[in-house]
Amino acid sequence: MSQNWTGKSLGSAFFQNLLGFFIKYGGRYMAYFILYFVVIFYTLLPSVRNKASFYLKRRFPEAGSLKLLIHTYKLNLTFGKILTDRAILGIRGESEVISSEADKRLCRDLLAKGKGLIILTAHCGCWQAAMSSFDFLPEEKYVIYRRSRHDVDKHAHELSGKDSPVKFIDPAGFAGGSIEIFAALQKKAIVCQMGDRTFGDKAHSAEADFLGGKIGVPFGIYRIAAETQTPIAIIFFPYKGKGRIDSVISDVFYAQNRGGRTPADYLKEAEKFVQSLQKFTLEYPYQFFNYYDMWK
Amino acid sequence: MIATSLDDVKKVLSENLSMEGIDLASLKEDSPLFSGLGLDSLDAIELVIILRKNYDIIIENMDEGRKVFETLGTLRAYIETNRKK
Repeated sequence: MSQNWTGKSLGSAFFQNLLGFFIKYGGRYMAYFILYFVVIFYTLLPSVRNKASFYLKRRFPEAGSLKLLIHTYKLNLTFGKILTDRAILGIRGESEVISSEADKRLCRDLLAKGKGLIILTAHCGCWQAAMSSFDFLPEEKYVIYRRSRHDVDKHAHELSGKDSPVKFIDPAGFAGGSIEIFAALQKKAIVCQMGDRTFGDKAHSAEADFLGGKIGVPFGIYRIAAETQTPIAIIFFPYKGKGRIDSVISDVFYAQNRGGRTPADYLKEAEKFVQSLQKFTLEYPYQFFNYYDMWK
Repeated sequence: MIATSLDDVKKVLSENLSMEGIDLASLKEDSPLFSGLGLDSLDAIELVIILRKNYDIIIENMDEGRKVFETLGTLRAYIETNRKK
């Protein structure tokens, strides 16, 4: 199960810029209005339908061709709205994270233990905008993130011209970014990892059941967490419409140090993450944005 | 400074990393760590852990790490200079 995602944006730079224009001069609802038609165009593209079908056929196994087309439209529309809202955050600064006080308190309590915090999330909901807006925690924030050269989507800070509120660690960089991850945790910072994307070959991923099949998820972060005794919080950021982002802490745990360094040593942690992810997709079926065959 | 030989370092690495098929005796000070020993990102995690556990060394930044992990010799020298146990 080697890396088979590309990081290529679903939409073109032209449509990104077009939406940017309507956001700037027409506002959110003008951009949404245009989006409905743009998404119809994309949904009718066979390549886009194919990319969406890997997930949707597993999430809606009973769906026929027509229903699958509708599901694809809804998935793409939600994705489009989230990207639009992210652009609005960058261009107009309008966004609202509606985390519960209990979740905020839990994050603060975990950080108070003095070991930093690892946030595991996935390519679902408003993961990008959420990390930019996660400002109720004053600690330094690092995101383990590899930007594909085919990715034309602009982050909110790039559109606003401001400095990024988070620092990025490239998992494909020197030593897989591990030195920077350890150094960040040493500083009691927050490190955020996409738990659903693997880098490198099969030896770097643990397999867990997701929507009726096995997917590979990275386990190196659990090895680091076990060694540093850093708490892990699985947090998803469901989109609540019109620039509103919720944050849901799905699970909090410590990775066990079993002494090994194989996928089997961290299978339990990987399964916890994937179970949380599956629960999220059941609750928010149109907010899971891995447009490739994760089960291959 | 605690004297640290190349053999000491090789022994620790071979005990903690998957180095099957590598002739330890042939490794020299100038052997590159990643391209030469075939180490990958998971091994890099183990290397950082080895430094913490065995020598109480924490590498603070990427530039420093890049230099330390260049060759077996740079790693040995860094351990020798910075180890606390």
